[in-house]
Amino acid sequence: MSQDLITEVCEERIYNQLFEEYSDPIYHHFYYKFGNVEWAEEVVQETFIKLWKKCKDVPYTKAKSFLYTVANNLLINKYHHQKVKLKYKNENINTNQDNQSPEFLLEEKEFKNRLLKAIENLSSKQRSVFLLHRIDGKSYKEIAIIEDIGIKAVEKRMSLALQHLRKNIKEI
Amino acid sequence: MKEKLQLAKWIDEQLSKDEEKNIPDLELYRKIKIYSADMQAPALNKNKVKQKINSAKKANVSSPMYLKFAATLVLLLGIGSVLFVLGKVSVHGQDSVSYVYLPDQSKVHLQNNSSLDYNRYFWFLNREVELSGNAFFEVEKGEKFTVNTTHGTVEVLGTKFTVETDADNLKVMCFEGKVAVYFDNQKEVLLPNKSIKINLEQKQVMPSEFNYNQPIWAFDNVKFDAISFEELIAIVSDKFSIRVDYSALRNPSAFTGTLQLDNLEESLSVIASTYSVHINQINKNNYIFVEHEME
Repeated sequence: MSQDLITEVCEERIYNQLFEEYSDPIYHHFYYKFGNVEWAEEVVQETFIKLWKKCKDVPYTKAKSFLYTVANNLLINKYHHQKVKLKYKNENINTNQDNQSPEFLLEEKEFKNRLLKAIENLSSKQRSVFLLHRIDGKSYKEIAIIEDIGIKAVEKRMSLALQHLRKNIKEI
Repeated sequence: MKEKLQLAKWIDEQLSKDEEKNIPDLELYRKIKIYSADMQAPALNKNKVKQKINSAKKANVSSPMYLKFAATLVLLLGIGSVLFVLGKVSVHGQDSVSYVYLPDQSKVHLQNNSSLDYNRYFWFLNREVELSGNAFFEVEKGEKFTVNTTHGTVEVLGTKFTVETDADNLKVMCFEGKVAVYFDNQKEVLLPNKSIKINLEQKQVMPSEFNYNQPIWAFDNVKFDAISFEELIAIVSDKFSIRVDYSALRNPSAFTGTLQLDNLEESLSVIASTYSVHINQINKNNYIFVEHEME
């Protein structure tokens, strides 16, 4: 980013670039949390409209944290939790390439379904951290910024998420 | 604490093979790790959201509805203020009593050096006048009629009344109908032949009665109904700026009758004949009632 563009959030090109960069993380974050695509979409929309309205006051370097903060505030006030529905990209992927017996494949399929159920049953805080890491490939540092919490808190949520998943999968 | 965060470190691939061994149920966690990385979330329909954002951006800059509304408002305000300025009528009482007919044929008798302001275009929305000085109103029946003065507000529906103001006082006399006087968050209702004098500075409110049918200063032909003799003489003295000595009369009764108050001689002789006495002029401004005409 060249120096002269740094404060120009109001400039259409910069604004669009911010949209390309942050609309997905915000969308996913709130989908993981609340499990409702319309709400997540609405959050993205409201957040970026707010950024446009305030574009004169928000320097480019602060735009990212501005977006996450606005989005977080929107959701705290407005939305309740719904079930998150996820899918696997590949139905055929499994953990043991050597063992392709029908019994094993059936067992794996069962496990995958249990995992989806277990993720649905996580608290929204834990699910959000877990999925941002696993699906979006975000680092703990990035997640900390998105969630507006410390890195230690992110790691704690991740550990708790894994423990709950394990417990849940075994119980189902 | 470290123990608890171990899982987070492990799934983030921060642990060595050796450290992994401490994790219970590692095989299960390994499956979770692999399969969860293969999940996908619903995709954001960026174009749709972008369109919504763009329309919101435009709405933010200039909404046609908003503009139309604003333009209409400005136009109405413009017409309103033009009518307000052009409609302003200011009447100032000249040498003697002036008559003013308001747009609804209500009649105002304005004493000299008094002034009256109203708006002829807004009259039918709002029968309201500003008065400074003294005036007698004969109000046509209709909506509320309001007289604003610096001391208070007088409100009526249709009636005859006077409003008199000077630097300190507001005096309202009701001749017909019903009059409400508002001052200093208070309200007084006057019935016919009742008057009220208000001095806001000294917090004085003086209700009183009177016994004549028209304000002395506005009309020459005034009918008195059982007015006390003292009061009658006070009115006459005041009207002609004279002094009258009536010590010769003992306990004069109340006066009922009509006086032609534009003619001093005639008025005094009417009073004199009513009480069977004579009136004599002592000098220019002094008169005296006597039992027998002095030769």
